[in-house]
Amino acid sequence: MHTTSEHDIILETRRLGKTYNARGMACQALSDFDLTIRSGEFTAIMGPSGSGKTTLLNLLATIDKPSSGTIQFEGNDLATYNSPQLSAFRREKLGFIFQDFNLLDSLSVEENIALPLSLAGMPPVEQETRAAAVATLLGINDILHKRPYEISGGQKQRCAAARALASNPALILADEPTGNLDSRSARELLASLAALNRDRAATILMVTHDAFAASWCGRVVFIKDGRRFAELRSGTDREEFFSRIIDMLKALEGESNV
Amino acid sequence: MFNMALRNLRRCWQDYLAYFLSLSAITTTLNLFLGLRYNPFISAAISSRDELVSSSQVASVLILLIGFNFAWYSSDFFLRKRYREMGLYNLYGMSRTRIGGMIFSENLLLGTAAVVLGSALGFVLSKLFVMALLNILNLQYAVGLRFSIRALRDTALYFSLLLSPIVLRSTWLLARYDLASLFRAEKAAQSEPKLRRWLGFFSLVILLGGYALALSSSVATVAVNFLLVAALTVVSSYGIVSTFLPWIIKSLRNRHALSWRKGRLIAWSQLEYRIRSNVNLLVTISITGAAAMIALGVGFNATQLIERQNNAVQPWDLSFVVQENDARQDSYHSLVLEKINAHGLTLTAQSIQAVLRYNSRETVAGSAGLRNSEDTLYYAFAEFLPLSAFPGSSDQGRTVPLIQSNIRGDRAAAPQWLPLPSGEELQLQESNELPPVNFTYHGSYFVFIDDTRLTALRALPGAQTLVSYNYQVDKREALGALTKELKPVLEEHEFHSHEFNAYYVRIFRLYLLLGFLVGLVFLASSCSILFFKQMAETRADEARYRALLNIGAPYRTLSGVIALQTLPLFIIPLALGVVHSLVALNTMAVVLKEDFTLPITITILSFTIIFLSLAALTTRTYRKAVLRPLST
Repeated sequence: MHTTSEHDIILETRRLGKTYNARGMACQALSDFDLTIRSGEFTAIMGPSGSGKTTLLNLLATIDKPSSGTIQFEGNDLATYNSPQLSAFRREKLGFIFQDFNLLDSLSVEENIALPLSLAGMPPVEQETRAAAVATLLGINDILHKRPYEISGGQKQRCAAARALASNPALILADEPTGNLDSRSARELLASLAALNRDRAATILMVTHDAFAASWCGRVVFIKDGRRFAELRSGTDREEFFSRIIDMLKALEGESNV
Repeated sequence: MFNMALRNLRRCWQDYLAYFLSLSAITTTLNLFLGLRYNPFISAAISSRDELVSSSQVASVLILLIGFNFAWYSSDFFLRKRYREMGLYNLYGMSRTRIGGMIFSENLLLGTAAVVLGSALGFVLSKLFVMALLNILNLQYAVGLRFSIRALRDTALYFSLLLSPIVLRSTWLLARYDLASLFRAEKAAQSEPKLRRWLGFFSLVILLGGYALALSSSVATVAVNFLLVAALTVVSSYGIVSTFLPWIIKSLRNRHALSWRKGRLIAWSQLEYRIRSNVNLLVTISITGAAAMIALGVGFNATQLIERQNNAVQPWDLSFVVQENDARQDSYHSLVLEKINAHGLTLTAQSIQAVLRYNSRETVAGSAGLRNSEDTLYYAFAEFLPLSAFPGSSDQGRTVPLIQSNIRGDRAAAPQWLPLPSGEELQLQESNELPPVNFTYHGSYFVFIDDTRLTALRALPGAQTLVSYNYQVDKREALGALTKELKPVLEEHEFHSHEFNAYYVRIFRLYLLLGFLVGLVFLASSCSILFFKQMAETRADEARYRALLNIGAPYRTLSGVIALQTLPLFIIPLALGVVHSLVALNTMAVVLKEDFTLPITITILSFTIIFLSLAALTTRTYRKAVLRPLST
């Protein structure tokens, strides 16, 4: 596996497309989508329902195969990877945060965090050290021995974030991470992700339809009908960035209504 | 409503297929047993048809109970899986009565299809079943294929008895739940009650105590200990499965160096959860599995013992006894020889023996005969010998050589002095120089007497000398028809045929076969319940495993994790059952002085093969259900 990156580009898609065939009908979910993610970026992908956000995320996560175009990760074409290589890629290079947490109820918070490390075959002592470190980072030290059903939604998502971060991935993919959280928990989680990005230079790609969540990012890429629609970069003020996102969403909707 | 039920069954056919096939298998077995009563070939071939029919009826009832248990458990899972769907129907305006009717229709369709398929399979397999049965009973008879409408009627009747309470319960359960509960029912969290470590250790101590009590039992105490040991075994098995095993797993989980390797922590946690949520089922399987293994081991051994004892007590295939001066003895003898020839049998040996009896002790004296008329030593039951038959007042004169009645011989337990009915005592003296005795009655002691004593005995009042005619043929299993013809003529002359012994052996074999089949059905249904319980959880697990695949868990690792969380669910009850049965059979071997090595090896091997096959099938099916590879 080639590991040297070209400058600081982590992920690059070129003319990425995905067509689903259902009952003889072809449905273009994504077409000619170009995206470049650099190391240390906190990027949001925004768009209305059915715009192709999840399809894009699935393609980037190698859960699904593109119909056209290429995805390069740290300079390597992911299309050349076989199944075990893709598993290893997901395990070692990516971290996942899901909307519905995907925590195992039968495992403690600590075990949930250590799970990807355990699957990667890391020595147990190192797993413990890493789990403790990320738990401290996300402020969930005091709940490490609790089960997911014993903690709040916000704590669950921070546990999921800790799990994503534990393997020190090159890119964290977050799929609507605030979708199941109340506003306070959402704010806490976003603050945690922003801190991770700022303090540890974690590269995060977040799919969301929530303008408030997107406003925590440095860059927002808008997607519509499977195509790249626009891109916004944050300034110094988050509130101002939030307003611009809202305006862009209005423009996106306006165009839809034309 | 029927259309909707049919549509539902079609839509969920994958969920229902295994359940339907299991119901059909139960119906097939039921049909086979119930059909024996109406089978014309059975009536023609078996003289002991009544025993066969009554025992097959008992077996049918047992299968019905097993089937009921299976259907009760399984329908519960299916219903729980569909609570949300029922909630939706209710939400969109379908009345509970209508939903109940739909469930009823589904079950009716499923049940009818199971009866039709089960009876069809029963009809096809009946020829094989009857052939196997007759073969086991050592009966040669040409068997054909006959359809019995009455067997179909009985099967449908029994099956509807089985299914009705289950359908009513399902309908009642649905009526009881409010809409919100129906939607919430699927989302029950995997919460765990606190483990009581002391209870686990206490259970282990109780189990070991029960084992020790069983193994230290003697003939005198075994009956008293049995109930106590059985109770201790059941209680401690429950404690071990519910507390001790989860505690061990929890302790292992806490050793991160061991449990955090290669995703094993998923397997450990899932295993702990699954064990704790299946305690009743696992304990039931282990106890009933042990009971079945013990019963089969003992039954198998008892069949062999009966055959061995019969051969020892009655080494001759045909015999009859007449008074020494009975004028008809020559004609009887000629008749037997003639019938042997007429039935295509060959006489391989014959003897004419003298038999001595006292005071008409017919029941016992019939066996206390002369071994061989040319011998100068004779066997006799010591208990019934008058002491005066042993002249001389000295201790030496009263001493007779002792032969044990027991085949295996428990010489250490033999009394030195044997009390006689007259109140006197006879001193017994062991002898190793005498030839072995054939008598096998437990609790009796045999003595040898020589010619001099025989003459003295014959002169005693109440003594009676008889003559026993004995024959041996080349095919003793073909004595059925010959026996039927000779019986009316020789009945009053203590007529004996090997056929009479074979009859009891056959009945015993029949019970053994039926017991084996019932045990097999029980085992299959219990394991099926375990299978369904695992499968019922696949929907939730599918998302969980998909998420794990998404985050890069290797397929092979997850495959191993699934095996580790599924296989022990079968291995635990098997191991517990095997240990229970080994202890029980070891106890019985000591108490009964029988060797159970062969039967227990066969039964344990059979059970292990069945359990492991089902475990492998469950693991495979579970893996296929939850581990669909990603599209890449």
